[in-house]
This record gives sequence, C-alpha cells and structure tokens, in this order.
Amino acid sequence: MSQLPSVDHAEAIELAGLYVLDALLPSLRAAVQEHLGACPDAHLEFDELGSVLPALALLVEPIQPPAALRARVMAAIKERG
Amino acid sequence: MAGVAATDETLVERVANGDQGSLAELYDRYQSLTLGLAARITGDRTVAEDVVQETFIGVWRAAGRFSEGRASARTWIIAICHHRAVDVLRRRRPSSPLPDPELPPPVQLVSVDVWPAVSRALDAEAVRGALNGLPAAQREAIELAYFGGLTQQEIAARTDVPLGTVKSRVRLGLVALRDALRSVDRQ
Repeated sequence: MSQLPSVDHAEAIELAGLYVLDALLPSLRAAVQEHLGACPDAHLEFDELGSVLPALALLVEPIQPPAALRARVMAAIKERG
Repeated sequence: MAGVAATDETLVERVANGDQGSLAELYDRYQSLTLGLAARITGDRTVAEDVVQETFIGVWRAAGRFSEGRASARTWIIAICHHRAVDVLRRRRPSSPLPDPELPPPVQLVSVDVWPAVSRALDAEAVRGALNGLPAAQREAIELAYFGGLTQQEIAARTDVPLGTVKSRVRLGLVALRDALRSVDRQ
C-alpha cells in the first residue's frame, strides 16, 4: 500500500470517472494527478465527465437556510478581511 | 448597472478583489442549492449548515484562483460544497481514508464546462430522466460516490463486486449520462 502506484495514459482515462467523483484512494488519486501533470496528450475525458457532476446537484431539493446562517457567513468573512 | 444583475462570474471576480457585497450576492443565489446538496450528502441539517459556511469561506479564499479555471462559477461553487460535504462524511467514517490536506482546490477537479447549458438550461426532470435511463448498477455506483461520498473500495464492498467493476460502472455511467444530457441540451 505504501509505494506510489504508477498510472499510464489508458489507465488514467479508465479512472477519470472515479477521479472526478473524488472516489479514489489518495495514493491512486495522486498517481492520476501526476500523470495529468506530466502527459502531453489531451485529457478531455476528465473535463467532460466532470461537467456531468453539477447536473447531479440539480436532483437535490433546495433548502432555504435560516437568516442567521447568512449573518454567520458574512461575520466569518469580515473576520478574515 | 441600472438594474442589470451581474453574472456569477463577475461576482466571483469582484470577490477576488475583496468585495464582501459580491460574496453576499453569491450567497443569496446559491444558499438553497448548497444547503440542499450538503444536507443530502451529510444527512444532518446542522452539519450541512456548517458545510455551507465553509463553502462560502472557500469561495472567499479561492476566488482569486477562479479565473484560472474554465468552469462556470456555478459549477465551481457546487464542486466546493460537494468536496466539503464529502470531507465531513469521510472524517466520520473510520473505514475511509482521511482527506488529504494537500488536495488541490476543486477548481482543478471540475475545470471546464464542456457544454455550458448544463449549468443553466437543464432542469432536474431531464437529469432524473437521464439517470433513470442508466442500468441500475451504474446509477447506484454513481449515486454512492456522489451523494454517499464513498470511495471505489467502499462501493466495491457495499455492492459486493470487484474494484474493476466499480471502475467501469462509474465510467460507463458517467459517459452515458454525458451523452444523454448532451442530447437533451441540443433539443
């Protein structure tokens, strides 16, 4: 488990779905990332599959938060400046 | 300015320049969506409110890096919220690996909107239809990952299939979903 796995182009494409869903173990995730950084080929698959995800969020029933949450968020922002 | 609402992307740009009013405006636009998503993932309303707070603090912190990405602001905010909510789940589950503190910001995870209408024109009905059109096993794998925050290993254990099967189910499911949403988008 401790050695960093190595991922070639075909494997990276295979893992694109799990990667964009953030469902890979950290070591494999890091290996995919390393490949993406080093590989000169296009990885359109990652962009295309990733762009499906915000559509999934549309399936969720929106919930109106209490007004107090807005105040809390803005107070936290002011604190950070 | 006369009554014309700023786009989300303009607001993020202003947030990057330290404009708190623009952050408040983004909050007003996305508070219900992010709370709904965080509540669905965490299953806990109080925790979900904390996730929403973390999400907008994340927007405030990372707005300067947003322009480097190619995603819509909507996609970006949803990705931040999803990421935080899944973090909470994984911290709670001893079986899960702890989130890597060195993880890059989600802007790199979801870096582009291939067909921008996904974030605007599609309605929940079309997405539900597309998801229901998938083979049940593919839909289940995607839902366990996205809404359950489960890893490949956890999905394999839960559904009693090998890791490679989870990999192909997720991939084939997302590809089919992409194609289905794209064809809806063209109509």
